[in-house]
Amino acid sequence: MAELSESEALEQRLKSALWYSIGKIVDEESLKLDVNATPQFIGALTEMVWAQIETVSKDLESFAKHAGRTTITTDDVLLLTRRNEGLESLIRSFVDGLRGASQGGRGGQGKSRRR
Amino acid sequence: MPPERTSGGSGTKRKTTAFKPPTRTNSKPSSTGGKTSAAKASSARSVAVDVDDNDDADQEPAPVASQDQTPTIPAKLLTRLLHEHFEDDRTRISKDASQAMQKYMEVFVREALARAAFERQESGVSRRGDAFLEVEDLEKLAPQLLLDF
Repeated sequence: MAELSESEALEQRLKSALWYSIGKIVDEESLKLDVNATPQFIGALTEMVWAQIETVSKDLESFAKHAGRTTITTDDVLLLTRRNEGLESLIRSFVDGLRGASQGGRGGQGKSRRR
Repeated sequence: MPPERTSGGSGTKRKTTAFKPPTRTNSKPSSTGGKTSAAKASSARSVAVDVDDNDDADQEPAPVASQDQTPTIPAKLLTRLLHEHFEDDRTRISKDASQAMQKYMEVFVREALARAAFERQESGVSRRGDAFLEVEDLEKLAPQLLLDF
């Protein structure tokens, strides 16, 4: 009983933190899009993001496991985006930017598929 | 229906790309990268405090805005959430991958907002001057959004 409510409390805290940071994005974006969002909208969006993180984390874990790894790499994240070309190219250029920033090395392995 | 989606999507992509430069320049140099993550960590900490207390609700926006130019889901929070849902405790995530995930979730949120606002502008302009996004707007776009991500 006590343990269960403890994990529930943890989930509530994490959800609150997520709610807060999503609220900040909504505030910024609603200025640009010239709309307002109700608190209920932000709450529902938080629930959606929460559910998406849940699915995505299990997918990533499975992808890494399938490749015989226990560490999730950027290749796994790119595999997530395989069905959405626009998203894939966006994340791919982001990842390439990260690689370019960290070092010039390790270039040829993962990113050669499209670029 | 498909043409609407395409136009909404491409419009969003353009917008999202416009946000990218500030985020990237923050994370590119290793020296500033450290500062950014430190700032994010402290903001994540303050998140928990603020949410629990709700005392300084009026003071919140100013310090946060100065910490993060482009609001996003804090890296620490997202990594924590991902680890929370892993089935295997040994599963780890590389730093680059978690940053890419941060980007992914940010795009997800912004795409949801852009689609909701797009739908609102298409249908609800005649109803009222200032548009308020409601839960039902999210309900309408959720199935397609989840298929796209």
